[in-house]
Amino acid sequence: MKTIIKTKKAQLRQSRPGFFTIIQSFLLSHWHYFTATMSQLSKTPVSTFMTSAALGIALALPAGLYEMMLSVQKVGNEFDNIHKISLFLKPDVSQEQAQKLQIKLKSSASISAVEYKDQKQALEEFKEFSGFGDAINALNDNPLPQVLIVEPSLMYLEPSNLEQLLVTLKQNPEVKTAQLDVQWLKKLFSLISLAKTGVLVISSLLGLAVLLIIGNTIRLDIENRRQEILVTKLIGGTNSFIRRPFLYLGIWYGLLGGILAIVLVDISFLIIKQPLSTLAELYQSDLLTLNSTEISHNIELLTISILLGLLGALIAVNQQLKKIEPT
Amino acid sequence: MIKFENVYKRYPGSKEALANVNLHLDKGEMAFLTGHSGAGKSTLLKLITLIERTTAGKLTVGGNQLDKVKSYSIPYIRRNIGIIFQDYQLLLDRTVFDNVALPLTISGFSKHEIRKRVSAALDKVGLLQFEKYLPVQLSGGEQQRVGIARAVVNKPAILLADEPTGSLDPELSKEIMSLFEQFNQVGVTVLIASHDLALINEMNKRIIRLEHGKVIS
Repeated sequence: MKTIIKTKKAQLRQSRPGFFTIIQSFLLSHWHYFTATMSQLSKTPVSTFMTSAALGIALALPAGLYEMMLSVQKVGNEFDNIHKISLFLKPDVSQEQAQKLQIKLKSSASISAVEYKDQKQALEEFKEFSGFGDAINALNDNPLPQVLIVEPSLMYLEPSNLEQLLVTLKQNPEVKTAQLDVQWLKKLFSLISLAKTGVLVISSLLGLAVLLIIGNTIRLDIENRRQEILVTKLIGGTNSFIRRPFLYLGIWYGLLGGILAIVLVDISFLIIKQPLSTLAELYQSDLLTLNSTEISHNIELLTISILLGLLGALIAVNQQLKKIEPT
Repeated sequence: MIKFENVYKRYPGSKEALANVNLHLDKGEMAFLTGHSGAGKSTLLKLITLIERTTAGKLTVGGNQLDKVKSYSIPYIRRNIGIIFQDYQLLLDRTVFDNVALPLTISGFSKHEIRKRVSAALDKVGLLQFEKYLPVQLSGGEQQRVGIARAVVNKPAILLADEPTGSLDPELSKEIMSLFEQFNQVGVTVLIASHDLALINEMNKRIIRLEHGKVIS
């Protein structure tokens, strides 16, 4: 308490504010501009909405595509075993021989794991995933062979290496066929990477559009307040002081655009949801779904849009402030 | 307080606006700057406020050598100088109070301190009851007094005025001048550019005459 009184007294004697007061008013001034720019925007609701809507649309497209990419990747993960090689053993191979082969293969450097499935397990699985359960029940014998499922080591996951491995595995006398659809794998990999690149390109372009929209809006606002900036410079306002309200304006535009983008994405997903689930039913997959965006993704989107707003404002202000000097 | 030593100012593509100016204003002095239009009055004031930079020579204001000052320190130097304009340069969308408070807001004073100082400054120029008004609701003379309040609210050591009475009638002009005199009496260095010879002769202060960019007396 004493020190507070002391500093207050000290301030009264000075013509300049004390260090503590400057920090305090610095923070207060930030709060002031945060609220002041908000009320400035609320005074022109139509133009604020139009700018935010343009930002929202520009942000919604990459955000929505990103969410879809995640869903596709989830479906892709279901086919995790596509890089596994199934070794179907000859019918006359005994269970003992099969397990010996399993141990032998496990010791190879190119293989990280080998799973053994006897005929019963193979049948159960086939019933479950093929959708031919009823037809199989009608069979008296189990037509399926014993299977060794070989998981290649990580460095052998490249399609060309897999093919090499496949040839080697086929040479084992117990093996009747070894199966791996490398072509299909190649296609899927390249499709996913193409989609990823596409989303990245579109996101970058639209991110740039967001920067331009915000930058241009702020530039017009600066132009409208030219006189105020000139007077402020003349009586000793620093550039950072003059920048502050415009930067907050950028933050607000980013925030509003981000919120609108989230709403737009969620509405679009709601619209797509019904036809998509019909499609998923046809494929008997419960993975092909689009849920409304997760909170963590929403926070990411808002962070990005606010940062874009701030950056756009910063670019516009730095460029414009140089041009506004008292003469 | 203000010292010009062999100062030259040349605008690009024209002849010298100021040539070899030597001028010394002591701390607490009050002086008038006069001369025809184009004699260099405004240029001289612009050099002091760092709106323009000297082409050659040494200019010292309040202990700072302005020809050596980096552009990022300009705002801090301007805070030590109160400037009054012929056209007032008030922010028309803000109240009288907010206009006068601007220099304090810039410097980072607390709200409490701002209220106190703005009230004191407005009281000094006799406009305390108008603090909630917008500038357009006031007369020219009143607006100029708001400008003066804004210039002095920061308690600057130097007060500069460029034709402060240029658009006021003689009666109001006298009032404004006596305000400047009052600030000078409490130790502020005052320099006023004016071509109203009748008025400044009456004030009985030092008169600096400029002609074609040169000090002639």
